[in-house]
Amino acid sequence: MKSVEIRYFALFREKAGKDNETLEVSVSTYLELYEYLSKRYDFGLPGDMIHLAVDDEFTHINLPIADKARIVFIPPVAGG
Amino acid sequence: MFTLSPSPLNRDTLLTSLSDNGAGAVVVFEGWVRNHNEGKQVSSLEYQVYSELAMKEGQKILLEAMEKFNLKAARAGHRFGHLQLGEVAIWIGATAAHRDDAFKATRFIIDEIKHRLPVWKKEHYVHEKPEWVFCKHHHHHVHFEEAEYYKKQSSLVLQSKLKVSRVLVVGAGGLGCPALVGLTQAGVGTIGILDFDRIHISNIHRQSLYSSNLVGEKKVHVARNRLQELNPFIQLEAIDARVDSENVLKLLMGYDLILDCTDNMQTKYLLMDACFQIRLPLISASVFKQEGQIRTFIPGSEHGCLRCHLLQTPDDSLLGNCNDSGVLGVTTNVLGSIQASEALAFLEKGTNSTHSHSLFLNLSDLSQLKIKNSRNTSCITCEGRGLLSNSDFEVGTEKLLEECVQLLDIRKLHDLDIELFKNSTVPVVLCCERGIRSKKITMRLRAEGHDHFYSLKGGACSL
Repeated sequence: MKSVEIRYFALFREKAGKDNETLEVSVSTYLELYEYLSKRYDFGLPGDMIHLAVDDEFTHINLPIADKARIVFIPPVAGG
Repeated sequence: MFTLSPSPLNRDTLLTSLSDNGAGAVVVFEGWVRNHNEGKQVSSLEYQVYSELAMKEGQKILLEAMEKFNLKAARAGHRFGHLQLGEVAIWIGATAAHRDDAFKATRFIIDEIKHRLPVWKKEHYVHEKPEWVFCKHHHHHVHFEEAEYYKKQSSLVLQSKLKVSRVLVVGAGGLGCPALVGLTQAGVGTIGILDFDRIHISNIHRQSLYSSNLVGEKKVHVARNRLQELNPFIQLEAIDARVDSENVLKLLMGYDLILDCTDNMQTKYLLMDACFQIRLPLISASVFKQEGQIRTFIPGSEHGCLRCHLLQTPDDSLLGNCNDSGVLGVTTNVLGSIQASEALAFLEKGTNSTHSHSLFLNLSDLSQLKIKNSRNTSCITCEGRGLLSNSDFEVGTEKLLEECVQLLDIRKLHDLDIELFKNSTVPVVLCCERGIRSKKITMRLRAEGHDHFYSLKGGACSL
């Protein structure tokens, strides 16, 4: 089991009903974690549209989860 | 400098901070909160930002613009929080010596911000419930189904197999453009685009990913953006690098298949040597005037490599290339498309037609020739023991002057006599009449692990 901290923004924040949470996870990759959360909170966006930041750096969603990772799943952005 | 602000942006301060007597132009872009979107009446906008990452990414975008467009300075400020109609949501300013760079840079910055900055926008409407909006320009896939995209080809390819494939295209030029388009449209899941060049006006007659308003831009970035628009369901990796013997293995590692779309023999042979060393399949194409040839190499197979029958890398100066012998867009487009088609066949079946036979195609009379590819059983490249570069161990006369080396004239020596120098403690530079025999012997000795042998490039003729 790995302990991770997840922060939510925009649509995900509303769907999850919270800004952040800490979870103990047993899935192996970030994508699997996203898919689990997406099902749980009904995010409604497929995993291949999501960017991922771990410890405030963009990283690849297919990578294995690191213990104590600070995770942000980034829905499509709309700056400007 | 990039800033995020919860309060209204001060345009005057932002503009004044860009003052510079060396700048001939400033181009400012402002994004405003407008009262309608897609037929709905908007009353206000709410921006949410992931500030730690947005600050980093915003700064990175400005630095990229500075370098890309040779700017004097660039600034951008993005609002967050709740904004009313007419407010400035984003302010971007870029200064440069000439207006063209400033215009292009400002456009680049807003496009990248829209695409990359972790900022989200919620629209509040007069008559309806508020909604998070996605930037439509870059996220068409929100509105389209992937299965629908591939509908017309679903009976021809195994889409799931293509989706998990990773292909690297080396060279995004005349062959690379059509090859990339073919792979992209077919739905190869991950495509790497490797090139170091910028778009030149003389490229556009045959390289259809580029256009005249983008001259001077890096090919890999333009190609990536264009291809992503062609297929929003795949991953594209833009790699801005020039392949050499130092970086080649690192660049190729992690892909399932390499497409050689380069235009010179040194790189073609280097790619082939590297692919055989790390056992990666390679599809190589070249064009000469209205003719082209394609061949697929699969390490470990019975169909050999280019060094099976010709050990040396042909000298580029002896062959024609696009620059001096001329080339037509139709020719490179046909050949690059065949390369993509061969790649798709390989990804699906593990082999293809140009593996057993090289294809030679002449577009001036539509004649074609298929030549059987065979392996020389003593070829060291096929065994994965070939060296990565011809150039590393070929040295010029400067090496003789700069370093303490032993020059060995082998013109009257037998191969066996040279073996006596295997234990030499100083580098041994072999010299023959024209540098051909010395190179051959050096390659053999180095394959045996004797790295202190060098070959004098051009031989005694160059002394």
